[in-house]
Amino acid sequence: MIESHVIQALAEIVGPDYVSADREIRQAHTKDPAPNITLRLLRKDPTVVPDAVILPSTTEEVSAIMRVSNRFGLKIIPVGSGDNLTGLCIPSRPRSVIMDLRRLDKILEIDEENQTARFQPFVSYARLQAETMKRGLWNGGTPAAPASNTICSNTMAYGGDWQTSNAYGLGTRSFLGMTIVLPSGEILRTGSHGVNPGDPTFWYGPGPDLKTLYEMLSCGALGVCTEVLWKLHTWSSGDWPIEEEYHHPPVPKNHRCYWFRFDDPDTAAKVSHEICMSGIAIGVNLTMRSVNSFCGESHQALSNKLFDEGYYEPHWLYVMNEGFSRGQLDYEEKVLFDIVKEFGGEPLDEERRRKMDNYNFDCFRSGDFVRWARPGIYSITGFGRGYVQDREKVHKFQQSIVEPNLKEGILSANTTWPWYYAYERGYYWLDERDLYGDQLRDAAVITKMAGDLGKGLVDAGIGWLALFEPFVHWHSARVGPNFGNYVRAAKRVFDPKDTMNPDKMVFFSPPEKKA
Amino acid sequence: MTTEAKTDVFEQLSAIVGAANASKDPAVLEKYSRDQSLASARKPNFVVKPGKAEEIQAVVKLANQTLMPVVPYSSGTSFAGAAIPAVGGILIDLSRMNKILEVDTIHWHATVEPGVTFAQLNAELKKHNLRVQIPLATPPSASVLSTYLEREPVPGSSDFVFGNEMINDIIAVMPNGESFTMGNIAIKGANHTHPGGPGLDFYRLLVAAQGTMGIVYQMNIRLIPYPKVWKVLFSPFECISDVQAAIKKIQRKELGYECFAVNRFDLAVMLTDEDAADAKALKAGTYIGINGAKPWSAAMRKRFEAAFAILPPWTLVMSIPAWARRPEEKVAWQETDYRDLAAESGWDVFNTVGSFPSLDKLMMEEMVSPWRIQKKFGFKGTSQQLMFHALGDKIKGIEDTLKELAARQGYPADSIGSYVQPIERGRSFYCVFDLPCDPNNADEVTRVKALFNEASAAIVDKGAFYDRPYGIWADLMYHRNAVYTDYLKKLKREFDPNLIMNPGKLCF
Repeated sequence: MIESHVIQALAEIVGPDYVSADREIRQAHTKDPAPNITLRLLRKDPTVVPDAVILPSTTEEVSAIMRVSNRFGLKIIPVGSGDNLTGLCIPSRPRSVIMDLRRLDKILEIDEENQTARFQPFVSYARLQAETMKRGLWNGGTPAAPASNTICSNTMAYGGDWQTSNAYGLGTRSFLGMTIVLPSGEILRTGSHGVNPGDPTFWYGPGPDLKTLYEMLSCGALGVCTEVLWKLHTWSSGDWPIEEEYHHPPVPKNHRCYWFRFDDPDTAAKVSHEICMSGIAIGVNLTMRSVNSFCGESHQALSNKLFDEGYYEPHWLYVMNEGFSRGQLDYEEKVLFDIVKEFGGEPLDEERRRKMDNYNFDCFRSGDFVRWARPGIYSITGFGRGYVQDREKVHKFQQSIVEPNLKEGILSANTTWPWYYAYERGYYWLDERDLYGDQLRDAAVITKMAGDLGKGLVDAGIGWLALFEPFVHWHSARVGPNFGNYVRAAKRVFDPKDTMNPDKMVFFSPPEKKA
Repeated sequence: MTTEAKTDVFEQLSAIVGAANASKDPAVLEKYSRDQSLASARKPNFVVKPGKAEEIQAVVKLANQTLMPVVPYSSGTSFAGAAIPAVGGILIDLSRMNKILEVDTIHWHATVEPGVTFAQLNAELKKHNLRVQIPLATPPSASVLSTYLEREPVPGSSDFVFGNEMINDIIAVMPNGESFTMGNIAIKGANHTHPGGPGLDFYRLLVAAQGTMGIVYQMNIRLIPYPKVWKVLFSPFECISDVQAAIKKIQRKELGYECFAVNRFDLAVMLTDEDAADAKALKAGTYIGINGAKPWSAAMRKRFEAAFAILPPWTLVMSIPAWARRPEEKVAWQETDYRDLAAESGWDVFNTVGSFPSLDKLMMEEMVSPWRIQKKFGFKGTSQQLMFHALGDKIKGIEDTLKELAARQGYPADSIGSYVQPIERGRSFYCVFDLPCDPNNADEVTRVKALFNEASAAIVDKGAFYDRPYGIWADLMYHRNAVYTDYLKKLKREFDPNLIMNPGKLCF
């Protein structure tokens, strides 16, 4: 419950139409299919629903909201596209206010000469790509997420491990500058943008780089990003008429996509590694059975049926080549086929390959990955980083957690091989194990599985980027030495009153409050 | 601090690192009081040479107890005064920690300690057909760890993946003496795959920090293979505007790997045969000492002038290496595409410039171990360097400003050495301009310092950004960003409450 005079103070900043304490509006801003959130709802935890919702439209309004929040002890939870699946934007304390950023939705500038874009946090992958591709540019990748995801928050939460990260690197490395409203209300600008606002010359510093604390997983716990300067890449394909045939869009010009199948995971992994180290291909991805079946079929029932029949085999490799000339495309194709021939894979037959056309589409403009959420509960269990050669260790460990917990009704897709994206030639996004089940019936068991998988990944020596909730109670004790101390030090410096998105990720309650 | 207290500190330091590795001998301290720049000299009170991380931790803890400043020091190669103790204190010379801890030939990376030099690492890597990328003009005697930690771009920086972020993870002794592992390896048993996290990225708080945030004693870095087939091509240009435009065109077709432009002065330096007596020191990277470099002989200057006279104002160097499968075919299609682009755009492509034979071989060597370009320090004895990032279309304005200021001070523009290299496919550029200077001529030192100071400030307004704000650049940057500076200071106080780590640098 937030007092009416506080709501009035907020209304004076954004206007009465853009702040609300109305129950329906508050409830509408608290959706998240993460099983631990479902459990909290089932237990009727009142803090799940925010006490107010506010929609600022400028950096200055965000700053003013922070000052009011400080005065009246509010907790601020910034929200981007609002389709987070891991509970990151769900309140956990009384006096929480959801700061919905949808009015900060402008692409402020696309600098074709210097290949950069400047935009606000509500700009989605789909919008930026549509605007940049017209100009022969693009952002270099798309996550396994809906196209409506906002670039800024999605990358900050998930690191930007994209299907084309093999050539273009991790998305976090595209942040050239940020404007961040700090919990104090002060406005921080980073890199050359800090010295000369709007200048994308260089992304770090001066000197030690404060932006580093915001790029990955601070998840709104150290401030609100209200403007981003972003690196763009050359898009060699010109117009791309994807709307004409939604399920079988043409491969973009100057791109070639290849699918191969392998009899065993070792061979698939070896081929994948060899491709990365040969310096070809913008994307190298090993997909798993459940990914294949969800992306390959339009209907849930058919996905399940064909999955159970084994129509979608587990060891498929998807390679995307891009070339600025025929010479490059032909060269890369030759090298690719040399490798596949040497190790013993074969191209996917035409029927199966055609089913994966949606996937080809996703790799450049996203969209169909949202099909994964069809089964109801969809729990992401943590994204790892490692070498593709580690996949057997990862798989065995995950099976040891998943199989004993399976019960009737939880999708068999849970038992398949994980999937892997290559990033930066030789490194892999490893081991995302998605769990599917019934929203109400399976929330407890899936929450437990997710927790065991997360903790176990660390105990098993598998690197990861911490991602899902809740892991707060054990994370810092398992990473170190002294990791937790420095996380808390950063929080003390930037958010001493614990105003911003409290209890999330690494920023669980300060020790003095825990006692 | 009283003499008695100092003696006590020295005894404790000696107990930590061993008597042979601690010194307060003025002659020894003198060696640590200067670097290759014109920065003011200042001696430390003590020098210690720890042999392992625990010794660094013990020294830092002692420094906290006695409130003595601590300055980390690796190979002693610095052109910016970063390791000169501003207020004395304990200088921690890390050169004894010089082990190559790991070379991963499957994923192409190596783990090194701070004392490992480029020459040392490359000698080891050659066995595996791998190499570490060394920034243009960095002596082979420089520390790999410190160079990468100070964020100096490598010639392959145009490539998003192989030339950009070269650090995989770091381990540091923090200002309170604790050890802190940053990156994936903070999880026991995990691999060297990413410098961030797990959970939150801290590592860039220690990068370009000049040792103010902690002492990094272990780093894993990415490597690249040695080329199997390698072609280097050259194109003459009249002015920097045209060079940067050409580089952008090349980069936006993602052609080649190393790509940079050198001006007439720098290329003439590389092409001028050194005086025989200096050859060994140049190749070892010891040519430039803390008292500068030995000035050229008259004969060498003559050779330089002859080379200078026939070179174009700017030369674009385009390197096409191939290290994987079908290397000949890769170089062939890249060369064809490059020549097509140049023909379409109207610039010439040659196997050399100024009719110098084997320029390609020379440049290949210089990209692997850049010893020839060090000779520029002998032109007058030393040099003041301006190093910054700028957007391509801003470089001409910056160069013009520099030349105008030089002309006003009677400094010959022809003596300004320069090279520019693209980062991230030409999105931006890293630029270096050198102002040669005779360190033994007090008047000239004063004039060059004045020109350097004036130019440093003037070019900021023209688009120069000092991401590594050494010396006077710190004020130029931090004065323009109050909130950033304030929070950097707050973070510093949180990490280093006694402010012992290299005080006087950056905004601390």
